[in-house]
Amino acid sequence: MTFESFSEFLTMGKHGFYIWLSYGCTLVILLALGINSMRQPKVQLEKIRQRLKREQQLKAYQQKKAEGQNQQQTSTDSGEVV
Amino acid sequence: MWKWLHPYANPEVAYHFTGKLIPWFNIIAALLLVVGMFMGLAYSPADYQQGETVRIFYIHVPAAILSMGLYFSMAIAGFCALVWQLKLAHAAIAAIAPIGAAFTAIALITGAAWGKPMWGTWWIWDARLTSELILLFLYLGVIALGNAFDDKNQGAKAVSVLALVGVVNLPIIHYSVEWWNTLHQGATVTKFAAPSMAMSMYIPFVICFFGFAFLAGSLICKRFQGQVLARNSLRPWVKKMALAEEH
Repeated sequence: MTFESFSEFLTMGKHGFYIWLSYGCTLVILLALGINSMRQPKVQLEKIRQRLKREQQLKAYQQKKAEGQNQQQTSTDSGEVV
Repeated sequence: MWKWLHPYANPEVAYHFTGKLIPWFNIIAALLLVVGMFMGLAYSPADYQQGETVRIFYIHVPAAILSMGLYFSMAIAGFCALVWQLKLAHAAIAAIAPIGAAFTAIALITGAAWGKPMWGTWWIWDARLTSELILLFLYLGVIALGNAFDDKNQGAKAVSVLALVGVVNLPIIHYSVEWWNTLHQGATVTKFAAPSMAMSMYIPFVICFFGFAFLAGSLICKRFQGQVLARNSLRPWVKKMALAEEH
């Protein structure tokens, strides 16, 4: 051990501020980067899932619309017959 | 070798392969960083000239070496992307760029915090510092250009070219301390000859360096996985995975 006491370790001679500033900034940057990176696959899967859901809803809506038009058409057809 | 390497060009195989690497990288990085930081902060001696500030060395230099090494690996990916049109190489570029940018920022910030007590200034527009700042802008450029395209595959070519062209900056950074007069000290550990420093400082440095390197590797793998998913979102295996996680 280079340091006699814990307070000596914290003050680091007279340059404690600069040393802890460096280590602190590094920790903050790496933590932010780490959390952001670790979430990446989940974030992307969530995006894909939402897109798939939207596509499904759109498909269901179009199907419904198409069915509605068919029904209308058949009703007007029958009207002409009468 | 090509036969052995070939299956890894399949996105699904690459996704699962990197998934297997991540926990190992994390364990190795955590072990090395805990030991290295402890040795660097408390066990290694103070420098006879710089006093305790030399402890910044244990993050500053690994971060600076990684910032250049990661850029080089990104450029290799860019080369592969341009020559062989590998989609996975595009994903690799997008995965490496943010990690490299973070390490460049760390190198610059710790350098400033080291410069203030030693040189009397946080920042000076000399060759080494300026070229490292340009490296940060190159990383940010690669990230921004990649995000500028909604269709990721469309922008991949431009991103690859930018990554490749930026390699010019790497020798400039490395030799800047020799070509120009600068406050920054010359190379100590990245010389081909034996490193010019005491073993009691060199060993914690090496441990810290590999700790940061494995951490970078793990984070790159994770981002790579995300990129692979985003770029293969129409594939059945990705759709299945997306829908399986719904609960």
